[in-house]
Amino acid sequence: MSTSENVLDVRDLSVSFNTARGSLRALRHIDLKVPQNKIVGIVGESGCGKSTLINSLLRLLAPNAVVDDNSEIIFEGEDVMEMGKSDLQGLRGQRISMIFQDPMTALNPVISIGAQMSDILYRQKLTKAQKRERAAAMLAQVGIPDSVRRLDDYPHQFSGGMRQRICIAMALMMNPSLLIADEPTTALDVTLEAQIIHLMKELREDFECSMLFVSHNLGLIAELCDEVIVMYAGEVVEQGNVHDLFHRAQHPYTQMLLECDPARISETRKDLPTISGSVPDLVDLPQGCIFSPRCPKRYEPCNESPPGTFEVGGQHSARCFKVRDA
Amino acid sequence: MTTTTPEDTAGADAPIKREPRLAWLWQLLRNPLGALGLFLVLLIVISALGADVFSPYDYKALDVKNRLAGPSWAHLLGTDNLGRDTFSRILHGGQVALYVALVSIGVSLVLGLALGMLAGYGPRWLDNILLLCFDSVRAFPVIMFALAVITVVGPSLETIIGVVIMTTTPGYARIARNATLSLKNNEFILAERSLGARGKRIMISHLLPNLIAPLLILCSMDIPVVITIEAGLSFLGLGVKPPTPSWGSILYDGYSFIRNTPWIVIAGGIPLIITTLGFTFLGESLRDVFDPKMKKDR
Amino acid sequence: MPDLLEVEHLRVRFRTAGLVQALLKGLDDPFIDAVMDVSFSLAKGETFGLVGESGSGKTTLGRAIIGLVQAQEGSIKFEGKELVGLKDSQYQEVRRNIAMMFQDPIASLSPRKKVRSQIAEPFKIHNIKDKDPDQEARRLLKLVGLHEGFLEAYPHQLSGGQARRVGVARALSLDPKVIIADEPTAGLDVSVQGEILNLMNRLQRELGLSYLIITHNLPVVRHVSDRLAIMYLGRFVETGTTTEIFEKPAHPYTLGLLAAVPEPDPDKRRDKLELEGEIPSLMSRPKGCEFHTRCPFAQEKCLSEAPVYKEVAPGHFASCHFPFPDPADAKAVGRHAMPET
Repeated sequence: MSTSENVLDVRDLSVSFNTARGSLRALRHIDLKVPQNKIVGIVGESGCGKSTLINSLLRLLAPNAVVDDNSEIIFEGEDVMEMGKSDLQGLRGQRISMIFQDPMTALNPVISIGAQMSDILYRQKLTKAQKRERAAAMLAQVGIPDSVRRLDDYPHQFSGGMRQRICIAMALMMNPSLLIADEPTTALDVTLEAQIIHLMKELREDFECSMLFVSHNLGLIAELCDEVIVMYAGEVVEQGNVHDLFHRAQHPYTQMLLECDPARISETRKDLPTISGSVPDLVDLPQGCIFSPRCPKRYEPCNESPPGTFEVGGQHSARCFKVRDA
Repeated sequence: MTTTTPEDTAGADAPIKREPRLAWLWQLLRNPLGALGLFLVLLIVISALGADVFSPYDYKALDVKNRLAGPSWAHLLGTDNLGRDTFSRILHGGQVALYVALVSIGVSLVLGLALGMLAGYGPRWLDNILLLCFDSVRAFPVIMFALAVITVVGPSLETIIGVVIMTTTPGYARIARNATLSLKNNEFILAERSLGARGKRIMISHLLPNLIAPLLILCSMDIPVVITIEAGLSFLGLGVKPPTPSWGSILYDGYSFIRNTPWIVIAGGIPLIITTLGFTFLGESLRDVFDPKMKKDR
Repeated sequence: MPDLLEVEHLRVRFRTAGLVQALLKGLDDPFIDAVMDVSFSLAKGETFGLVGESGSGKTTLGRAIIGLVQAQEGSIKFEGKELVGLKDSQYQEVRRNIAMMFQDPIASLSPRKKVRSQIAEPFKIHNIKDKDPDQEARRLLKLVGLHEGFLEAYPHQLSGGQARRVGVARALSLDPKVIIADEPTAGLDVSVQGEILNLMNRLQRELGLSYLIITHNLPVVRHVSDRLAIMYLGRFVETGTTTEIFEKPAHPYTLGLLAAVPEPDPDKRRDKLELEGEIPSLMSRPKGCEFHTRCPFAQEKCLSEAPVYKEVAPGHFASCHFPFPDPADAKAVGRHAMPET
């Protein structure tokens, strides 16, 4: 059974939004698997549908969203799309928890850290003292010195890096099966970013937890993830393990994205490569491949119909006719 | 293998995200409460503006034979104790009510914006002095203050307007000041300063356009409050002088005969209710439309 | 010939408490030093990068140069003219020659003004009558690679990259000689970052601009700047040419910053953390070398004695008691291996 190995298995997920201009097709035929104990990275630029994807997983989409009937989101063998209200309550924050971009807004400014952390355990029959003990242990684990005393402190008494550590501790309090980290270091300095990534690597040894790590920073993806999914304009254009993706990228978009990253360009140069053109309008999609208007390698088939997903080998696949014809 | 070319014009020819010009109006009308509010407000405004055209009788004309008549085709809302047509008086009363409300709120808005921006953008000492003034004025209860002023100056429409301006300006000023303080350190203000823009220019062309929308919404919600104050004072005989009709004086006239002829009080009360609901609904729906937090991107 | 912009021993202090408050709390010194004893110069056509974590004072330094915050000591000379101590009204002329671009591309544009009036704004501020603002707006838009349709757009209708271009156009409107760019690529997608940097580079070539780039993005600054200064707690801890700093960093903080940037290659994962802890508060500067609390190589001397900012190689300065003389030597004394750049 493949489902038992995968914590999360998203099949053919399509989401559109009803807007004044018409149907905005934010996600189209997304297939995605998060295997047990693996970190899966999602890379993509703004407008690629990362946030819509995350919101779909937790069923937190805006009211004008329409999820396609074929879509399946299987989480630990259960279909999230079929879940009732109370099942969803048990899902969010308990079995799937999130780490957000801005640690300041993710914490309640007027409640002490200890109280916020104990609150997460509201379902568990523990005494107040036991809950505090758990919270303190958790804080110590994420590297907050003097954790017992600091339980009574408020979020503003911590620095930005410490706050993000607290958010991570809170996300791990319930021992979730899946952790979703949405650009967790974007608001931090490089040095703190390195510290948080280092912490996440340590924690993955201690907690048997799978992770979906969303970032636009290719360096972090390479540093932390086992598998990578590249998204462009609402589609998964390429997926595979981290080595395949960084060393043997097949989709022209992935290749160009890698070339653009200033951190990958070894010799100093003043003229940096870019991807010409812009993301297509998701209300009025091009007829062929979604990337074809910007693709330097496009040929006849690209303009006719959207490409399916073609295997490159093993778990590596790309949505590009060049892969089929290779 | 290099597929990308160094260039800097990529993405520059991309289309601009545009919204239709009157998108906010459609958004307002899509909300049933907003549509109702707009309808009621238009109803009040049009009937007040066209009072002379719509009135079947002269609002001052006495018809002693038809005193305290009930509603009929001749007198839609009946007549009062002097035989004056209540419907005509209500239309003209609306004129008075709107005049008081619009003039006083308009002046308060302008004064409040100016003082608030000065306090918020100006030096610290000016802020302290102005705040002290705002707060001491606001400490007076409106009605007591109004009674005191009327006792000294004597009742008139202008006195009411003056009192309302005095009491509502500090509220607007405080809101304008707080908004200015939070805008002041925004990057676009810093950017203007870095270009060399001075205080006056920053306040008038950059702060003002950002303050005006929230304050206008507040104004819309304050209009019924002012109309009620005017009606209340007129009810007490401290507002407009007869024979000028006011919803408050109509209520007062009907009040003495409430046991036998309740329709005068009812006729005087309904426009007050319509006005209050209309402006409040409109204000709240406008806030929903313009508040960026409520606005959905997709 | 003197350089275009010369900053010497600049110090910017902020008051942390009012007079009464300071007295009540018994503070001797109710000030913090956001920028301390900073000296550098910027030549025509040169790009100088200011790098540091948030709280290092790099933004304050930029704002002091353009007069948005007041410097207390030292001097800022633009074309030989002293700027420290000028009144706001006397700064007008300076602001025609030095323009600043702010971090957030969209929030730094006035939200209720069309692009047309955003770009024409400087002409109105400086009361320039001999140029047609409308025509200038068109010319500037074209210069930054946007078509005329954008004249009628509002900031919230623009993408980050488009808004950044408008910001560049506005900064260029009065033909400045220096542009101070605070995080010019922050919040932009990687492919768009390249576009903006290429644009800035082209404009520098065509117009002979000098840039002061304030950033924490080391991979970006490496490609665009000629010289770099690394800031920590308001001071320069290391300056030198970009190549020299990336290849032979002398200060352990620089080394830590460089090592913190992840390499986009799964074969080059790091197991060690080079720089632990966080930047201390400006209210309680560490004694001795201010970096010793985080320095993996700190020794006895560093705890008590402040290092001198001295030349370690021609044109390369650092303030460290034990600067890395050479990558090879660094290894020899048992220090961490250098990052492969």
